[in-house]
Amino acid sequence: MEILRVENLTKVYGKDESKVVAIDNISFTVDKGEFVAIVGASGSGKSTLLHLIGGVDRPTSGKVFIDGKDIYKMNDDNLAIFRRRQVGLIYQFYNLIPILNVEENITLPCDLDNRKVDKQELNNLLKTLGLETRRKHLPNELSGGQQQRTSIGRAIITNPSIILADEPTGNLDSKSSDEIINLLKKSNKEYKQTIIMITHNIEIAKIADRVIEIEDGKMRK
Amino acid sequence: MNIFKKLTVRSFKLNKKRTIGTIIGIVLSTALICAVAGMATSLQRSMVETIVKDTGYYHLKLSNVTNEDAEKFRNNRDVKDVNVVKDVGYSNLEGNTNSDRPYIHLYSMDMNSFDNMHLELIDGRYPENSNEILINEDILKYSTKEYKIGDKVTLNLGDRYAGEEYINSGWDYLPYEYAYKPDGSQKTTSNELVIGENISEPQRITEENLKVNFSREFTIVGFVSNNDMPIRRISFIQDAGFACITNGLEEGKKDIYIALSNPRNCEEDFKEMIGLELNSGNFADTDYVYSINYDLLNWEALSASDSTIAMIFAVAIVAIVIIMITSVYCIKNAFSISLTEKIKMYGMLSSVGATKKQIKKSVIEEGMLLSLIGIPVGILAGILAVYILVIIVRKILNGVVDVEVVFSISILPIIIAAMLGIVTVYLSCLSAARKARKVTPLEAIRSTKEIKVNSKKVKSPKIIKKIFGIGGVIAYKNLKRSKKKYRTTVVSIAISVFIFIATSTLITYAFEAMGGYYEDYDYNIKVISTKTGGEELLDILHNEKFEDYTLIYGVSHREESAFMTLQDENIVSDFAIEKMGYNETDEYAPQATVIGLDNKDFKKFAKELNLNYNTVKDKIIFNDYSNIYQEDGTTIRGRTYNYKKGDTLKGELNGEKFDLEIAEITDKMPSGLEGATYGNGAIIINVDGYKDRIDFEPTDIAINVENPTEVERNLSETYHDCTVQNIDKQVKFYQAVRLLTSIFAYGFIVVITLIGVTNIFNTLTSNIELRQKEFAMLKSIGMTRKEFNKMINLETVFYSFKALLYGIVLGLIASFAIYKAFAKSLDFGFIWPIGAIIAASVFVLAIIFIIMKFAISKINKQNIIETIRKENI
Repeated sequence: MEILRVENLTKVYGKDESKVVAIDNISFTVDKGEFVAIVGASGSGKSTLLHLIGGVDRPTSGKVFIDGKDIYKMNDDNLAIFRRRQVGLIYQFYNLIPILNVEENITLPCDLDNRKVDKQELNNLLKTLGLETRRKHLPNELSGGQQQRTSIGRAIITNPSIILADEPTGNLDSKSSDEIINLLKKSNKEYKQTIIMITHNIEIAKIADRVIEIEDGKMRK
Repeated sequence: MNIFKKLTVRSFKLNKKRTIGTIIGIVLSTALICAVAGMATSLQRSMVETIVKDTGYYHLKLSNVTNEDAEKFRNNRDVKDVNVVKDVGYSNLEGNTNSDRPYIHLYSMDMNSFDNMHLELIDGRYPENSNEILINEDILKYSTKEYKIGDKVTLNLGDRYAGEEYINSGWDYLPYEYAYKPDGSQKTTSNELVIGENISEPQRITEENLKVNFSREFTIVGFVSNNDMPIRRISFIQDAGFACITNGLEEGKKDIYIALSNPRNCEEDFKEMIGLELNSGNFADTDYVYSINYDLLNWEALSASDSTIAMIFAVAIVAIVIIMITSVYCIKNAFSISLTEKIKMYGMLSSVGATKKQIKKSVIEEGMLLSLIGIPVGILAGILAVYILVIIVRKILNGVVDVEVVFSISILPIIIAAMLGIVTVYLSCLSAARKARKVTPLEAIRSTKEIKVNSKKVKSPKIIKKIFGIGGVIAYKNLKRSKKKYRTTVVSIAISVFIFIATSTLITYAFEAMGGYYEDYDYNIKVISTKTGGEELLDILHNEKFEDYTLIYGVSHREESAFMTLQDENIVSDFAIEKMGYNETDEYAPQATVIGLDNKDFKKFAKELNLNYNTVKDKIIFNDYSNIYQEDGTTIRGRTYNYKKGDTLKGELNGEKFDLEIAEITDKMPSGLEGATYGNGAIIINVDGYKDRIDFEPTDIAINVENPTEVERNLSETYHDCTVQNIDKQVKFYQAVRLLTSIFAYGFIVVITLIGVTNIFNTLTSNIELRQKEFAMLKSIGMTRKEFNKMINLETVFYSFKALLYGIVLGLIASFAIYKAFAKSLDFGFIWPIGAIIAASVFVLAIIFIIMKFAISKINKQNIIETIRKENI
């Protein structure tokens, strides 16, 4: 079942002489439960593509459908609401809120929705993430790996339609990297979570079901 | 708890400095507004009570009304109170030896009037019927007979006559009177009683007599003081009789004092009660003989038709506007800074799915939360400030001026302050909210907003590198490329400077306006010679051995002229011709007054003018300034002549010719002649140097003593060829007024400056904190501490000078505008606010220097790597 459809997506920055075509007419689909890796050289447009899929940036032209909905038909507020319920975002540099503890960072999307989080679910999640003993700690009291795990927790707590991860292991040592990748794999296999992950590490890309290559803003077939 | 509230509270706790800085800003501005409002209400209350103390609480006095009328008014629902005072008549009193006040003047008041008019008793109780009487205690001083409570006195009450002429109640005993000729013109006064206007033959009568109407026996039940306010109010100053009071003889025509229930309705009430239209200008509308207590009415109703009230209103409003501008700016800045620090967080929230509305709401809630703390504290602080001020003012004015100083805060100023405070905060965070809304998730993710750089190539002038090193180059490029970042800093400093200069100017002009009335006197007794020769003044100095005095000389009255004729050509100024009525072609040459000072006093005066005595002792000091009051109500100041400092004045005095070099042209006068203006010019000259050419005689002495009352009495009794003036009370009053005005004015500036300083502090510390990573990175790649300091100092210098420049220019413009506003009534010329500019510059540079130093030392202490790694917590 199709969960994501990208149609003729184009993103252009600047104009005339300083024009940069970051994404050039890309189209593809992703089925529910797939684990897709996007690879490409630095500056090839991977992050831009991910942001466009997540509704965090607006395309110059083209459409993105998530779970059947044309997300760019929505206005900013509706897009924000959609995003907090249906899209999980994981970044290279964790981007946690420094004044909230682990638990609070994880439940953030639900809090924005004013939705109560099931205590049992939260505990299970923390257990899975290996963060039980750290639940009340602030981000600056965590190691890199722990911070990233928190990010992941934030991304999956709402059971979103799709998880977007931008170089999630880029900032981590090999051990932590393995942890993270295993978590993502687990999420994908056990909870049927659809994951699109950007990486420049071929080894990591091997875990995915499918690899999309981006070069100079275009998909390589 | 709602996640946003949680975030807000947490970030408050973590960034205490910022939070406290913002709260202080809110507290200061709310306190200031509340204080201004509170001072206004206290002032109103104080004025009302002062007036009531003097006049009693009444708004309308009607003379000679009937019983029915008195009752009618009493029953009028718009009337709060009616006090009845009936003039019963005069009587002799056994044993009274006072030849100027041989009578008793009996008044009767109804029972409730005693309390209402606050009649104070020295002894005894109020009379309860018409057989009881209160005796004026002054009588006891002059009576050979002793009167005690319980004694009985018989009074033969009647009216005073001079022959057949009825003498009006209240007139002096055998008063001075003018005699009028049949054609209405006067003859001069005489010491004998002459009554009547337009009589065919002036009559001279030397005795008055009493035509008795009835006799009555009274029992003395108490004594009143002649100085008691109610007594002074109902009686007359030089009355031939001492006022005594009884109760119950109010039949017949009497005076009533009416107090309105609602003074604000006075126009309607007066119209309804006596048919009087207040503002119609037609005073004959009513048949009643009335007198309105305008002072009380104006202050109770806060009527702007009283010019003092109008001026105070204007000042208060201007003050509040200045406060609001400064605070809105300061608080707005504080929120903007707080927002900048949290931009990443807002972007993150946005990327996780917070809507723009949620973010905007969060920012505004943050503001409201801070006001919840700041505003009540501010109001309390404001009330406390007013309370303290009232105590201080009371202390200063105590014994100097007979006023009531009352602390009064009604709920109105509190509400006003709270509302204005909330409005200020709301406006401030509205703009921050708008900015927060615009933050896209991407900006937060990529932290790109910080690096909004002008891609233009910025070449730094070689000289910068030479003098300031690489640090300077970076600083320069920073400034050129990220102008927006510095704009807030520059603007906040500029605004603080501008407000400071504008307020200083306002105060300077206010003082100038008062200046003519409230000079700084350094003496309290003035002795003026009344006899030619003035030798007695020298006797006084010799005998009394005064040490602190100024002796003023003039040309002797024995001489033909006291004025020096000015023989220079074309010496009269255009100002004098146009405004003072000098005639260009006048055949008489202008003449200036000659004023002499001996060595000691000339030296003192020269010193006041910052002149070196030794160089000027043979020269003259010239003052030809005058204030001309024009037809349109404005006052302008100008000079009569065209002389300049250094010119030689050619003059002729009583046959002698003089060439006098002008050492200084000034608008000041020596001690003893403060405030005097000589429209024809005053030549102040050293007596000792010229006494062989000019015949001087002493004319005035200005003495400073510690016991002015005693000295005044002593001198008046001993020396009779002079007049003695005790201006101690006046001087103290002027000093008190100056002091009070200074306190208020400078207090105001201090608080406004504090708001400005809070602002600058917030801005600078935030700037530094936001760039910690950048600094750490610079250090990590090898910038030494010295170079780093230089870079920061340079940046500081660059933008503080820029800010100062803008602030000073704006301040000058404001000063000029203020000058123009004042010039409508007083034009003394534009005064450059040099003092304020220097003060502001020094102060700003000092503050910035201190803050930067403090911030830099903090940075220098930090660990480089930790800084680079950590988040902006």
